[in-house]
Amino acid sequence: MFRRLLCTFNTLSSHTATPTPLLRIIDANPVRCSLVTSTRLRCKASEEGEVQEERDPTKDRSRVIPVETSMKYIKSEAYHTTYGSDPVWKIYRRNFKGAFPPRKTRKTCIRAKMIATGNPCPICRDEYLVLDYRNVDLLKQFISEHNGAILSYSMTNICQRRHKELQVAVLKARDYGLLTYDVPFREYEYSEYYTPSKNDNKLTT
Amino acid sequence: ITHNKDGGYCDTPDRDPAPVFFSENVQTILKKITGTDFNKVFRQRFDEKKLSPPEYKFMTDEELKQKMKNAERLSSKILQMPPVLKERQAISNILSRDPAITGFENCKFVFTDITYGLPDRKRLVVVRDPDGTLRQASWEEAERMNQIYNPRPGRKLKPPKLFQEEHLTNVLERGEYEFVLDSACAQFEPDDPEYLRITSVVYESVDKKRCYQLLHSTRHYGPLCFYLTWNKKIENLLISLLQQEKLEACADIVRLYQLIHTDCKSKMINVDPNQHLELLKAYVEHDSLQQQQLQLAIQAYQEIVRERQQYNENVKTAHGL
Repeated sequence: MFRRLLCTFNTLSSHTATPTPLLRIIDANPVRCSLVTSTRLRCKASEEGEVQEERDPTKDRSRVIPVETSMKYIKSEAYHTTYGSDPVWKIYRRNFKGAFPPRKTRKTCIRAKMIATGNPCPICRDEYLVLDYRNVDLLKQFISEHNGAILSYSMTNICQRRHKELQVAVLKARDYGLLTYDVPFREYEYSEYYTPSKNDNKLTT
Repeated sequence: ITHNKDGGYCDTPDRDPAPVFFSENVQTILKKITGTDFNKVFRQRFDEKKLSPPEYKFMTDEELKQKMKNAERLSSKILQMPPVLKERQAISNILSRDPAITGFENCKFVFTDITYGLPDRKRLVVVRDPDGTLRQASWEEAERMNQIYNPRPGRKLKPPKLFQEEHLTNVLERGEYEFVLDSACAQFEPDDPEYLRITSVVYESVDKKRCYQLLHSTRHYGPLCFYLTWNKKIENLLISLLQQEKLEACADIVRLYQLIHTDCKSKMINVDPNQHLELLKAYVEHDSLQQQQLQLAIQAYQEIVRERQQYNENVKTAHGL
């Protein structure tokens, strides 16, 4: 089997027409032969000095946008012309087969730092929308105006990964006091805190 | 700003505000000045609860009166004032010392009594330290255990970051006083030093910006007025009430001041309780620390009243009445 492997490697090296083979056989004896692999694995493309892979710039999401830039963007004219006064998820249509959408939105739009779908969700399609606890203007668009709850992904149509990010960001913002809500009512039992003794002088006007 | 209820003005330091706060007269005054604006008390709450559509009913007069009574009873529950207590003392109650078992473990053991129906403050929580001492748990340890075994809604194991200084100032700048106070009520006990610190910071901020109306008709208005009166800082409050022409509220605050500081001079003067302005003037003359500003405010109020009367009379004569 080892001999067959050696043969395939030899044939490969002859095809690529590189002078140095990938595999060197020091001795014909298979027991005494040692496998020496070249540390500098050369392939055709790198020999010519080109970039490894071509990344489509419209789908590339490897650049991390800071939160401050996102907050500035939301107040900018570019944002206003794109979205107007509607929430960012308003003008978006999910693609699916049949009359009823699947119960859950897709797991994620972005795989290996590239957009992996033709119709990304409202957050993934705009790289300058960063879900962060400081970005209160963006977070408020995903909170219901009627009862203060986080809107479901079935309404906003964002992917599952972004929905989790949104939940974390909203909870953090509430913890820091950047987003306010109505706290559950705390009822007090006065007798637990103060029991008037009979010796207390009654205060009179 | 001291979280001790004594703001450095009183002669007797560490005076306990609880007996004064819970006395009947003080409670009636505080409930009266809080007010019951149903639009604010029964406002829409953003607490992630499922909404139900509004109901429209036809009712007779008696049924309407009954419903209004129910609404008043419910509003008094919602406007229940958080207790005003002095800072609690650290617990140091050792149940037994067993140096023989020193080093049995490298961590403490906490034993909590999880009997159903016990109030949190009566629940027994004891700690066995690694050096063998069996002691009653400190306040913080007991609260943590209570929250683990009986979690309260709105309370977290670790206090939210919004109570830290920089974030607190940020929230107060935006004017969210009711939110901070509600969160503090839910998270802390009323005698917790943290709770006292937060409430005093909020009350001072409200006093500085004169935003008393934001807390009017909420459960926090009573303790706010009590705090300001206890620390003799009612001048701004009186001026803002005068500007809104609420003389009765001014008189109530002066009466509250007389109840809390029983050794004040204006109490000696017998003033007819129905003459609100006279009571206020007596306070300004004898006990106030910023006499000029208050006198200016009283004069301005009297001017406005006089001008309004004059205007009404002129209108009447113009119409030939």
